[in-house]
Amino acid sequence: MKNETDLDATKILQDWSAGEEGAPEQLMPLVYEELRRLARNYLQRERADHTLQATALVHEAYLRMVDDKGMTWKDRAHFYGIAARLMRRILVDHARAHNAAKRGGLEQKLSLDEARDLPLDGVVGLVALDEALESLAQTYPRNSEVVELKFFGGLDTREISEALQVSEKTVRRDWNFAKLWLCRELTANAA
Amino acid sequence: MQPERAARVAEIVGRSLEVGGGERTQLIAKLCGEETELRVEVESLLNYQKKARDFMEAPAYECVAPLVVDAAPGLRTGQILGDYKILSLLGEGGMGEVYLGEDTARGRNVAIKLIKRGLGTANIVRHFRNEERILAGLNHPNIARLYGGAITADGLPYFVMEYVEGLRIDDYCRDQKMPLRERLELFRKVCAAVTYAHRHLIIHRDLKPANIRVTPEGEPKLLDFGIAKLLDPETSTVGEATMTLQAVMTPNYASPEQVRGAAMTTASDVYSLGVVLYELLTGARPYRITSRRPDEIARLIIEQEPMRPSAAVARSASDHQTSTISQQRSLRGDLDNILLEAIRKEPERRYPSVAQFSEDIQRHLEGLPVTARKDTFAYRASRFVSRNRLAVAAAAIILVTLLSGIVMTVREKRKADRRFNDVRQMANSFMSEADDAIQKGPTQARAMIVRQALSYLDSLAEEAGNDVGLQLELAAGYLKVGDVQGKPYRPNLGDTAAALASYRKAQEILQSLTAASPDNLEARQSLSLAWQSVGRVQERVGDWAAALKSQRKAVALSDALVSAHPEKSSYRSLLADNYLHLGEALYQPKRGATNADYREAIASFRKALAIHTALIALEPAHAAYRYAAGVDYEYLGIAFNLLGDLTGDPENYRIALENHGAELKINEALAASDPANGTYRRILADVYAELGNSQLKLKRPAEALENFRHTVAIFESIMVSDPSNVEARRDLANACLVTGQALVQLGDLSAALKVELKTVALNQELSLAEPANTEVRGNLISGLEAVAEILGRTGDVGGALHNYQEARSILSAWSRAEPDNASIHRLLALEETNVSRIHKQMAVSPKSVTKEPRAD
Repeated sequence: MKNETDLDATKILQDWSAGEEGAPEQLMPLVYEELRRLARNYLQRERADHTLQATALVHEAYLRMVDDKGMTWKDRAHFYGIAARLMRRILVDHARAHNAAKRGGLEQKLSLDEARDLPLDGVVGLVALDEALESLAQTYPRNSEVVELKFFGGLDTREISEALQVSEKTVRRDWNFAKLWLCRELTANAA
Repeated sequence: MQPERAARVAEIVGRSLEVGGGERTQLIAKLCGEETELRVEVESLLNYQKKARDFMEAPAYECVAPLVVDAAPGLRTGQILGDYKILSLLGEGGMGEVYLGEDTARGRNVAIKLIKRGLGTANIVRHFRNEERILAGLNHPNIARLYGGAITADGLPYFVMEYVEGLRIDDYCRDQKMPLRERLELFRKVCAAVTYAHRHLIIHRDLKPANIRVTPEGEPKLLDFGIAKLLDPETSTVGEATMTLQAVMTPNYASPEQVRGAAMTTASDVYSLGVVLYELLTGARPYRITSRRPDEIARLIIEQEPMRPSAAVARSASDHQTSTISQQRSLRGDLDNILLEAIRKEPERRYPSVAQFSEDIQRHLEGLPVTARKDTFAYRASRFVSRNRLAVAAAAIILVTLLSGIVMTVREKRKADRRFNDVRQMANSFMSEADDAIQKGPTQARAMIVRQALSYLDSLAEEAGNDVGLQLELAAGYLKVGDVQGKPYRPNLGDTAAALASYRKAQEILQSLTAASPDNLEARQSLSLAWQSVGRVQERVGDWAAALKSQRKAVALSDALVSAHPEKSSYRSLLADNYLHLGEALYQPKRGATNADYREAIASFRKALAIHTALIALEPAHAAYRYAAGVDYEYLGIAFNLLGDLTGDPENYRIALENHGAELKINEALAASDPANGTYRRILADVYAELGNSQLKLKRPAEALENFRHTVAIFESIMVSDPSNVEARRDLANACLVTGQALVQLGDLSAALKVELKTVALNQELSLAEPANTEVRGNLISGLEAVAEILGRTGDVGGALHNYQEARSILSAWSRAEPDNASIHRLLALEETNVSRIHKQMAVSPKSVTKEPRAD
């Protein structure tokens, strides 16, 4: 399932691990394209398959772009880190464009009651969440990274612990804390 | 906030979340101490615990992905695409958009599937060109037709398909609140369509409810047959892939081999259909899939044992109004077993074919015992090997010939590459369908094998063009297929008419080839073999004159080759074989062979023996030559026996016995050197029979009986291990006939009657399966006569009359069909005499008419 560009992705990651400069910059447009494509495909999947097929796009991108043979956890972590950030960028950009189109540029802050339902009604909330996440990163950079990897990247606890080189318990605490913090931030801004 | 404070806030909140109630209050008090600001911050955050519970728990893309998709579809309403006008967008699938179009030329609506950019456009187009004819050839009421395909001006491939108005099968069943029985019946129609496609070498590869629609009339229609293969660039290279596109995109109905990226077979469709039915009957999927990661889902499909459907019903009960208890009860047992057998992890443990899956459902519907068992691997494995030896061997022979031949044809390498998978699929469906078909009897087995092998060869023949190498391989392929269909004296499927047709195709190819290039020795050699094969089958169906002509042609062709290249053993060996078959064609007693025919036959056999003896001297280790010399001796023996019958000179029987003695020596040595070799064992059976025949003619019935018993034992064991072996059945019938004759000579009439009744029964069965086979017909007549004669001697005149009359009616039909065959007229006249003789006897003692033990 690898196309011409995929060999590049594998090589770029390996070069990067070997200490070569500038590798992530080369990788980003490739991953960006792949993620965009996968996100599109996601919508096109059939109704009944939705629940079980809403697979983590970052995993799909990795499986599709990288030849896992000979990859170290470090390569994988690099990839996931980049992909999660790109996923965030793609999704937030689209949410922003959507908002601009639908609401004539008027962004609405999330109301208190909407907070619980954010992911379901997330078109509006995602832009606000992105901003809140920026604030979180200023004080709690690692918590913000956990959110990026989990919420945007779709990684599970074990993978995040590998990517960030912390224990799984720490990942769980960081995540729980970030949820509280972001929930409060969004609620306060909406008020 | 100071980083240090921030870290403490996080720490305290984290630990607080792990405890509850009073313990938490105490913990906060202890950790914050007098630092009010710290405590306020901690408590403020903890206030959001309830609100935050579900917050961000679903991945971000789930809610945003809809926005990511481009708003503009690939085709516009009203746009013209070749013969088609786009009417509207029907929907979007994994591969791209589907439009409703109007075929303006034919005035019908069609579905147009536009393939998204980026799915390997060039590959799709190439694959499509390769598969188009096969896919378009799928013509079944329950399969949506593929009308064609092309590329848009923008370079996007599209397929034009029959437009099916209908619901997904799962939605349909739910909306109609369809009862279990009707669901099963609907599903069987789906199976029939898939079976049809499998027989056309097409595997669906992506069976799922979305691809199975039900029309308002309640007819299922399968969509996208063969399309998955076109979209999967991996199809041309096997083995490398870890995960295919399909495995990632639609894992729920994918088989373990599919998610593994292994080769897919018809068994993969059995699996997917199994999952579909599982869902239709239980409302649940067979696996407890909790992960969203494709690799996790793949792992579960490979590793997790599916839930018993009856148990799955209980689990999904909350979603359904139906009475779960009665549902559970109706699934427990047969349907549990049927579903689990269809979705076994190992393809070889599933139903061997969709047809068999469907039949088991039918058996369940009829209240008959089903074949599915909880775990039948050992049973199935042993059964498969023993029952399908012939079919498996047939598949293997065809496969090896075609593959080695075609792959060797270098110039056609590309053609071969893409055909490779077809052949693989064909072999796979042979393997899986053989079990099924053979259980229903040889008629279906041969129908299946003939259809598949020939459809493959025929399609290749159309492409062969002027390629000499490919044509040679094709001819060889047809010859092999013909052998499997009905090569005399070899395990075959008993379809002599079809065998003749296959041999004829080979012959036609080779004749035009040798005409175009007379120097092509290989073509001339093959042509000689083709004539020989044609001749042998003609002989089998009683076309004596044509058979003789064919064998003379075969001899002439190979004789010329030997004259030109006396150093080549293969030419000499072929010439010897041809002499043997020429002799065989000459000495057929039913043909009305004359004294001169026998003399020529004997001369022919001696030429064959001389060549083989010379070849043995050159290559003493070559078992095939010694085996062939044994056959020469055998035929010489038979010829002298027949000559003895014709001339009444017992000296001939003595010479026959000598030849059979020489034959026995050779074959005992061969059998001893290779005890597992079935052919040697079979030949040994013939040798015993021929020895017995000569002894019988020399009035030595005790020795003859001993030899016949060896023969019967060998053929019976062959039949037990391979019930579909028609040839062994025929041989057994012959052996029974002569055993009865020995017993009559010994005066044991009751034992003789028993054996001859068996002769008649076997031949009747064979004759019914293959009415054109004159050898079987002749043997049936001999059997009936033997029974009649024994009954006559025991005083059962009525029984004797009945059997003579039956023999007479067969002969009179035969003589009407072949008015020029003097031998048949002679036999008919003989039978008339027998019947009238019995009538006279009955006039003397009419009472015996009432006694009627019958042969049938």
